Amino acid sequence: MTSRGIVYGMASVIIASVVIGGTVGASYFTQYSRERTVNTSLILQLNDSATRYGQLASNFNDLLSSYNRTLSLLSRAIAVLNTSQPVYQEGSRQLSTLWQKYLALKPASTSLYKNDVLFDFGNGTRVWYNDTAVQPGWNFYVESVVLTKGGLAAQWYPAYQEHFISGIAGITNDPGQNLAWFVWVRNSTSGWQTASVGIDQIPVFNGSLFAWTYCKYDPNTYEPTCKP
Amino acid sequence: MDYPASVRRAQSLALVATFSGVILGSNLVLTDLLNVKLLDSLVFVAAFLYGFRIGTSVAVVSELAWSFISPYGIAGYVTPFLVIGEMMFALAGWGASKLWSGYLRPRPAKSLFFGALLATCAFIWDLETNVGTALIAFWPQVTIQNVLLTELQGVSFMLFHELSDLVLGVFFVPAVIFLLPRLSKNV
Repeated sequence: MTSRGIVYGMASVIIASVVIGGTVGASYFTQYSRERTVNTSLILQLNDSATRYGQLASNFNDLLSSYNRTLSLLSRAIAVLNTSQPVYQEGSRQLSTLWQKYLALKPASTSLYKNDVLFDFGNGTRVWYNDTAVQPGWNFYVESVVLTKGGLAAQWYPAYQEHFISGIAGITNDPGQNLAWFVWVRNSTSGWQTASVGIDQIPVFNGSLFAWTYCKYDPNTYEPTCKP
Repeated sequence: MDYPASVRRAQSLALVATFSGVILGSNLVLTDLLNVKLLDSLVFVAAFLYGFRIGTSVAVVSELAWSFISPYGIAGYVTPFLVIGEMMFALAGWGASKLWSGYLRPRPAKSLFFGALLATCAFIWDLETNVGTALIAFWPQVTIQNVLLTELQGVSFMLFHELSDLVLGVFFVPAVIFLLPRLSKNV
């Protein structure tokens, strides 16, 4: 082989190296460009999804607000409905269920009141409902309806806008044996005191402490013989 | 021995027919290996051993025939580009014979020259046929961008073609160039 042949041969090898190297580079560049396009598309999709999620979250919050308003209206309606009507009984049962669902769905930012309530059935059974979430604006009657899951027997007195509680969870007042349910309010200075007003007039607030007790009362003074 | 012209013509026809037959047969066998074909190498060998006219004839006949009998279907408008591109291998083979005519035994270092030449030809063939593809695909709205896009999209195919031609040029072509004259002398 002549030296000219070797020179041309080497030139061929160099050119081929450049060509193959270039093709490899171009191949990777093409793949890179393709991946970049896919990536850009994914970013757009992600942004779009984030926007849609934001809208969905906003709609969800609106829906929850409406749900909350509905609950408020239902609780107010129950508070003034004739307790003997079937709609009251159905509404008072549903209110508790709907409230539990709302608590599961509500945004973390929603501020609710929390209080503690005791039910003393007079037979040794005492049930505490601690850190009970309640909606600002509720009174103790509505809270009691929710806690007893509608198991509150009451008589509505439209003239006084008050409920007279005649039984809780199937345990009813017995005037013959001087047995009745009493509602108690605790404050830091004077401890447990029987409520001076009807339960519709007792507002619930953050940290409030209430109790229901079932026991005998003095037939002359109507003072209960027990304390929570 | 100096053969009469008619004998030499018959010899030439026989060579073209034989090479083209082997090329088409091997193409069919290697159908599943995309862009790996003995076509380029055998056109190169034909031109190297028997001259540019024989090499070109093999290129035209085999590429034209393959354009119609390929299992992938008829090549269509791109056929002229394939044929012209294939003729370049004949030109390379003929040029190589002028430079490396004393090449009788396969030697690794020098075999690389054949591989490099074939790989470069494969690159040019790919570039040229991709331009043809772009012209056909985008006509009459052909733009530089369209052509470049077509080239880039075909880059992975180009790479296989170049590498396979490099390997065949290093191992297969020197072996055929070494063996074929000896075998034909015996025949």
